[in-house]
Amino acid sequence: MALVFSWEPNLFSILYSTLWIFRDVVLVIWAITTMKKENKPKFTSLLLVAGIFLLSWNIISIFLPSVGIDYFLFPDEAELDMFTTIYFLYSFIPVVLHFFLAVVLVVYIYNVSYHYDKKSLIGPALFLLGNIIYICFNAILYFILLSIDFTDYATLNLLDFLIGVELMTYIVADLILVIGFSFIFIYSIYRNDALLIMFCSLYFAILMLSLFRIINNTIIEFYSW
Amino acid sequence: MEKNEGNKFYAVPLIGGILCNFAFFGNNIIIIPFLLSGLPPFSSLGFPILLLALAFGPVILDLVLGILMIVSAVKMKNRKTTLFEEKKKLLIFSWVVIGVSLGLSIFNLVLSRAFLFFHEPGLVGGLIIILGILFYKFVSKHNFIFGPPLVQEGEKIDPRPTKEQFLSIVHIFCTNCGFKYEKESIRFCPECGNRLVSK
Repeated sequence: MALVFSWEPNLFSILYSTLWIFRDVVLVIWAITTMKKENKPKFTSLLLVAGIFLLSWNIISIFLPSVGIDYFLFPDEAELDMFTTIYFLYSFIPVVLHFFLAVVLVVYIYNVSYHYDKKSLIGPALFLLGNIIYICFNAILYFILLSIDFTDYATLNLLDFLIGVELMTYIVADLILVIGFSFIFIYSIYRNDALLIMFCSLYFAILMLSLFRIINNTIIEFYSW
Repeated sequence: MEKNEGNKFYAVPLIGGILCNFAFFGNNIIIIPFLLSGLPPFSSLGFPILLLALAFGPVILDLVLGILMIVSAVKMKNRKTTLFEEKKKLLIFSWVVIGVSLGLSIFNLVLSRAFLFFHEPGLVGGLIIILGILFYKFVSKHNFIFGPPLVQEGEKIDPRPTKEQFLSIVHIFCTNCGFKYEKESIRFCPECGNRLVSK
């Protein structure tokens, strides 16, 4: 077996996943409290659905093992297919869920406050743009990964280049997400809703943490001595 | 639009304090392996104590400041204080936490020769509080940062002194050199630089 399955939780990963779960719980509670109001805005049930999907995925993803290819063994075709499908699922499910959340946020904010304040759609629009970039680059990387011949040593050198490109695009996409979500953070303070502020600040924190993590990984990858 | 039901800003220092506590817990994974390993700088007895003082002290500061932020957030929720009173404290705490996280990242860079930045939660928590107060300044109609505090429900504020009371304080007499200036109010003595009093 050339594939290596490993499940090694450490303190940092546990704290990181608790942050995600905390954010999703706050989202679900906020959606429920907005649904209980008399003049509830449209599409709040979609928010609840997005929150429940994200919460269930984040709880499941704690127990999922990480997959890698053994450094000294060449994988078979079946094993390669398994690796690519698992890679696809792990990278695509959260991205698609966050794309859904971004669409729901755009629709919700358009219904609630676009007629009062047309600038309020800047944040969700930037957030949606960042998510679209994430999806596009994940798809491109997946198709490149499918086309790579792992038994050929020459094309394997392409992987180093690909890792660099992946990291750089993730930095750009995460920057767009952070800027977009800072506008949503301002909007939440303007609305003066405590649960919405908590959700937005938690998500903002998670986005900044992931941005710093990616920058940190690129520094370690290319510039450590 | 919804009815304005008091200030809900307490959510921001609550999340910031929780993140500062996370910085304390996230730090331990980088320090403890170095302490347990018998590598040359850590094999001697004296160095681990120095390391403890250098690395754990600032991170315990992170923990304490995070707890104080959460306490002030809970006080703000229970209408014991306002944002205007807690603002200066929160800003000082968050700047200290940001400085600690950046300094410890440089410390880890020197120790492990790689940019291991495990104190990001503290940095992000501090940034969120600073950005939140800045965004509140943009968003609120009242000038909350430099102006008077918003009066909240069930809160009593002492009346501010009127303009006449302000004008009645006239600084004319110097206690150091006996200088007197009776035409208009000046703050400092032109002869010796001492603070003038109103006699």
